[in-house]
Amino acid sequence: MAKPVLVVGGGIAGIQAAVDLSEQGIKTYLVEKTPSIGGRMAQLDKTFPTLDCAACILTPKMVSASKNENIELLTYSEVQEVKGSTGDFHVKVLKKPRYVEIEKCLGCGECIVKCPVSVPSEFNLGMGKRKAIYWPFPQAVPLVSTIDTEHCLYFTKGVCKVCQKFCPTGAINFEQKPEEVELDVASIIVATGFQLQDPRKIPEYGYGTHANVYTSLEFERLVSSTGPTTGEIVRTSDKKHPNSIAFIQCVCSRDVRMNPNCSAFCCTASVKQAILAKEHLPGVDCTVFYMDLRAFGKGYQEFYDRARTEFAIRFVRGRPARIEEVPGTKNLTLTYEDTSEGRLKKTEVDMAVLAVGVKVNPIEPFTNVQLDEDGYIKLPNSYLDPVSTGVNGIFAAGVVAGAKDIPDSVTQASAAAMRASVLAVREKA
Amino acid sequence: MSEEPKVGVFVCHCGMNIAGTINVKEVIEYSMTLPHVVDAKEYIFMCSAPGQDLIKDSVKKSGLNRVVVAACSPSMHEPTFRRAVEEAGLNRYLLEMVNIREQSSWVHSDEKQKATEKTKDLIRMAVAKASLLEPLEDLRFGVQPASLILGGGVAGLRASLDLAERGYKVHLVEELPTLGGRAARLGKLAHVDMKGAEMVGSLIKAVVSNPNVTAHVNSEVTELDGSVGYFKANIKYKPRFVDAKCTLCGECFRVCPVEVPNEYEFGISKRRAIYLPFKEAYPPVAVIDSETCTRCGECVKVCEPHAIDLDEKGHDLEAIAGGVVLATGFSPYEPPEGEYGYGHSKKVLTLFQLERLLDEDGPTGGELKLEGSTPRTLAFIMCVGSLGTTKNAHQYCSRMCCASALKNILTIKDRYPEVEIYTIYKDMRTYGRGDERLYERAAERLVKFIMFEAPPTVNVKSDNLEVRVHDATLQEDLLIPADAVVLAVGMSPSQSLPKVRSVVKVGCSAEGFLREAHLKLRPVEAPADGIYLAGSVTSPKNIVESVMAGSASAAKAAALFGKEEIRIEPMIAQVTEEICSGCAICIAMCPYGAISRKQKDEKRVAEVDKALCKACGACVAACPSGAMQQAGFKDIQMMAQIAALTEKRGA
Amino acid sequence: MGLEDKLLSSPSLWLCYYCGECSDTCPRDADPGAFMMAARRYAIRKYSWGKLASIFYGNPAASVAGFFFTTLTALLGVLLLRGSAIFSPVNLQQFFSFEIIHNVGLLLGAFVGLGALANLAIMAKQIGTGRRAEISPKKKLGVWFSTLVASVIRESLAQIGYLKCTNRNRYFAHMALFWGFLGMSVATMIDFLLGIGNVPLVPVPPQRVLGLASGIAFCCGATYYVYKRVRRDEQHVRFSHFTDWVFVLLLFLSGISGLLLTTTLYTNSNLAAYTLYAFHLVVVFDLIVLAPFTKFAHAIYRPLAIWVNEAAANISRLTGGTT
Repeated sequence: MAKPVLVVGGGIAGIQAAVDLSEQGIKTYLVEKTPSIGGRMAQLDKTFPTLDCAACILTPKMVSASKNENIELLTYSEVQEVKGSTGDFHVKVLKKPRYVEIEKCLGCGECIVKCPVSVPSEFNLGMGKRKAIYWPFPQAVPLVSTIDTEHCLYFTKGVCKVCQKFCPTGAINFEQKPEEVELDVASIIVATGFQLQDPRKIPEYGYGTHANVYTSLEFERLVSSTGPTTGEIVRTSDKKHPNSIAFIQCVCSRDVRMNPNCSAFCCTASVKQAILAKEHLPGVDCTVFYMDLRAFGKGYQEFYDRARTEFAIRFVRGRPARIEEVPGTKNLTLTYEDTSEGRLKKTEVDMAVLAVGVKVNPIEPFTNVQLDEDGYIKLPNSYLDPVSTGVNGIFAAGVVAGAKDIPDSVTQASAAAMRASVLAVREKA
Repeated sequence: MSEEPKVGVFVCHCGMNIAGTINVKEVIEYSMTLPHVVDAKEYIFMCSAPGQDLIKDSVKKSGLNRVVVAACSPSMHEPTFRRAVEEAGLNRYLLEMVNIREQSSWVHSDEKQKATEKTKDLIRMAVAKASLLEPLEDLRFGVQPASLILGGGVAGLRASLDLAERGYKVHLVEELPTLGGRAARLGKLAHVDMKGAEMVGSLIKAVVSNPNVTAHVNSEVTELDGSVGYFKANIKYKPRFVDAKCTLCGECFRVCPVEVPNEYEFGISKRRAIYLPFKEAYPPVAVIDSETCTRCGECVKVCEPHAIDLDEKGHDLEAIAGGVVLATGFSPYEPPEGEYGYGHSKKVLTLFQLERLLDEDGPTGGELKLEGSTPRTLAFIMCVGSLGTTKNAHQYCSRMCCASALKNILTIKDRYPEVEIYTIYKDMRTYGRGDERLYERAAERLVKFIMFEAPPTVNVKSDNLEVRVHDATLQEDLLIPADAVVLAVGMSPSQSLPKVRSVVKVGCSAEGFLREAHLKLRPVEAPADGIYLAGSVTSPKNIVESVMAGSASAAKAAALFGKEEIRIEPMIAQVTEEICSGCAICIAMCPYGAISRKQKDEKRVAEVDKALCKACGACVAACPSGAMQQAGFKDIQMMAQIAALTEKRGA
Repeated sequence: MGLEDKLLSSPSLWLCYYCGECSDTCPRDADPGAFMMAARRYAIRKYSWGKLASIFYGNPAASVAGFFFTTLTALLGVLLLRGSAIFSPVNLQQFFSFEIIHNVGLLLGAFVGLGALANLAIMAKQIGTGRRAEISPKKKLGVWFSTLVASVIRESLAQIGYLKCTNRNRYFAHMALFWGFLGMSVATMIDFLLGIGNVPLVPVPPQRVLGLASGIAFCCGATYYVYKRVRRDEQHVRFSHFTDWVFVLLLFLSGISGLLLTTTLYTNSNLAAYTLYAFHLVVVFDLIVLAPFTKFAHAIYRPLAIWVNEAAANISRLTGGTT
């Protein structure tokens, strides 16, 4: 019997690593700090270049992860402390209280329907709403409600408890306490992923002040059939369809002010978003403003060529200097240099989407694991061993080890699982 | 069949992929009118947990015994729904999956009404077949916990090491006389103080010293039979004509009269017919190239340890493996003669050749010398063979060339600061970790970057090379009087790929690299179970990405080997022995040699080897008596589908 | 890369105020501000008639030598041609003949004036080659004239553009320096025209008031510039080419020495007065002689660039053509 392995982070990389390990018969703990696994990929509508719907290819893996008898899902949980060494790690994990008992919850959703409190939804990046008792998204795994104590009327004011009244199995437990568990594992895979940088660091783009400037992830939610507008691309200011959309690349990437690195996937992601925009709104005018269009992966260049020829999406080489709001219409004026003409130009668009760069999530409890100056985990021997961190027995996979797209994250995750499995098998439980 | 079929129809929206074109409500209503259908449900993502639960609940509540799922392609989710059906308590093969995404919604997205009608037709056909489905049992086979790995480059080496450390036997087969692949021919690697051969050398050492690995160098797999869990390979060892007694004294190299271009130096220097591929080659034994050897025997005369045997014969070896990893790499794009002056001047070279020049173990000892002198002005032309820049070029991006070229540019600037370098590029794709910094450093060192839309031209003159390019940023035509031109060539599919594919049944994508099971979520697996794809065999990759893919494919193979037995789809050919006349037409038809004859009572009948049958259906079509049927695709089932299609549509 | 003509034909170089915002904002650290400044230094070398500017800018040793040579000439001139130093009251005219100054001044003025015209002609020709016939002065003379008046008044005299800088102090400093310099020149001109030798100290004549006020303004401006270059706290002063120092220090020293000199006249400090006077003469000599070869040259190039740019835009607007 092999010793278990811990995977931290329930995005596609973490899920893949856990599934690979479990397929080898190795017990795997998959710890995820939000209430559901799925990560960034769950927020995507379609994936490039195949235009598969992200949920279609992700949710079966999520179901696999939850059903597999070798995987123990610890969602809404966080790693507190890591002690020990390779082959023999002792990890303290805090299971945060959902105030709903996982074994009893059916995922029927009655509690959510009845809850009187609506708050902005994190999954929809504040553009839609959820209740104080909620699932992050309808295909969440596990499909168990979670109570947000900051907004729940019971926790803030001591009243309501409607969810408990209507729950058919009595799964709601307001007395639930956080639970600390200690896991003994042979090896650890860190796959904690990323957020987007804060585009307010570039005030001249007007994010946060101009109503119709969005981040790429926000636009992705707008375009998604599971999003706040069920896939209708409408402007925040007037709920109208935009006639023109500008996609601006390298926002908070390749920028010495906050992040000199390239975020790898945003070029092709924006091409995808422009294509989706054209599919949703056939008459819309889409322009992508870029520095270099990094369509480097398999099928990406062909995808980019299709965007130009088949979908008539315009590509302008020139990083806009600023985005100004037109008072009244709330349209946006972009000032940019079209480098192919060497001229300064202005153009007015209805909507602007910023392809915001990657900001790696912090990995606090892993105090021994060294990071480089941008927050990515250092891989001291990246050529021979592209998943090993400087600490024996701790591996890294996905964006936490460098910005990358889904195929590369999945490949690195499997590679990490391979290395972790050798240690797990060596140390008998 | 004993019981009345009770069919449930489940229609998926697939987000907007299906629902955006097909009127799902109408389809559901129609489905309920079909014979034997007792339940019809729809859901936004049928493959998700709630979707699968919907199917399971319906099976229980409505007592279904046949399930039709109308959704995406079976190649995507048939296994998912089969599992769901099995969890609901039915035999997993009582599922019929209809593709209404690729085959209706996506192809007819502009004719919504007609697409909906077509969807109804497809479902009607599926329901007709589903009513006649029979329960089937998976075929079970044991798994050989050993791996066959084709290709001894970084991807193959890493996969070998991982599987060997994990405890599984590995047969590593390399067609060249040395392990190491392309990475061993690189100079200094980016971001580290190590050259390619050093890095590969330590990997080789770890691999060959692991007792679980048997390395077959200078060998090829000439036959591969079997399928996942049990493959039988014939490995043909090609004679080296030199054995392990070789001390690498080099005497034989001196006396050999034959000189040919050295492919390990990409043609910029020569080697003899007896040679050592490179300093760090493994095994560290000389080898004779039988195609160019004249058999003069001079080498034998001078070989003190008598290591040379010109009469050595090759031999064949059989290897059994449960899974196969293809890691056969790529070939550098070879520009046709005249493209950017390639072949017309010794001063036009490829990036691979430049790596050799800059390597201190290379033909010039690491000195950047072309025809005796160091160029003062160097032009790098990027995207050669990629991005459709020239007539012969591929459409795709070769991914690694931007960073590779910049790495070499910085090396040159370190050693020869006075050299003027112009980098003529279409797009600067330094996407990798730390690679943006290479671009910045090159700009800081005053390398000039010229962006082109129309590719540059190289005019070979007597004393220099005139590079003309229209700079798209300055809108100026520029003339660069370069002393040498380096072409940053891309990656082409390996030249040995046709040979490999004749042995291993794997498909290619449109551009000629091997096709993976799914581009996003299954990038290291071939569509066929038991075959894994690692490294640049599927698409251009740099070293780190190839090594990751090697480990990833090992993880997939390890998952296979860890199982005691595997289950294979039972849709294979079956003989109804009572009807079989023993005509043997099927035996001649079978491309996999899976059918033989056996004696049954007084007659001879056909017999199908379940392990070898690939369910292609050729024998079924050829059988004149209908004795050969394919499980899951029986004649009555197919006829029912055809009849359902041609009948007039109901109300 | 053979694009020198394109660079030199562009008046855009001179429209830049070097606020440094571009360099502060640049996400790639490309420092376009410093590039513009370097391009201007390059243009000064290239527009200049003869080889001197090129040498001065290109070679620190040569420029030190040139500077040394000029200073030595002035110093020798003062020492050899001076008169007597009376002790009370301070008589500057007696110490060093105003006539010599006037004559030398006229010579220098002619030299600098001709040089400036020559350089302007070179610059105009460069711009012309780059801009083709659309903006040929042969057409639309009226527009050219009206633009000259408007652009010169707006930009050169009122320097409205400077107001847009985030750091307003630069506007005030430059105005003080510019107008201070003009004011002192006018005051000196008046003295010269009136043929006044030794100007009485009291009552204070109007041109002396002008001169003093201008001098104080000038010194404030010059001090600000030296201070900024020492502090290096903004983009445009982070790097100082030695020609920048030459210019700024010469301005500063000429201003300070002039002010102090005037003070000594009132306090009757003879030794200080004559020393300062000699010093002042040398510094001013340097300033004027070296003018076409230093940053001072922007005083002629900028107005021309602005004029050409504005006129081209106006012509284009009138003809509805493409420029």
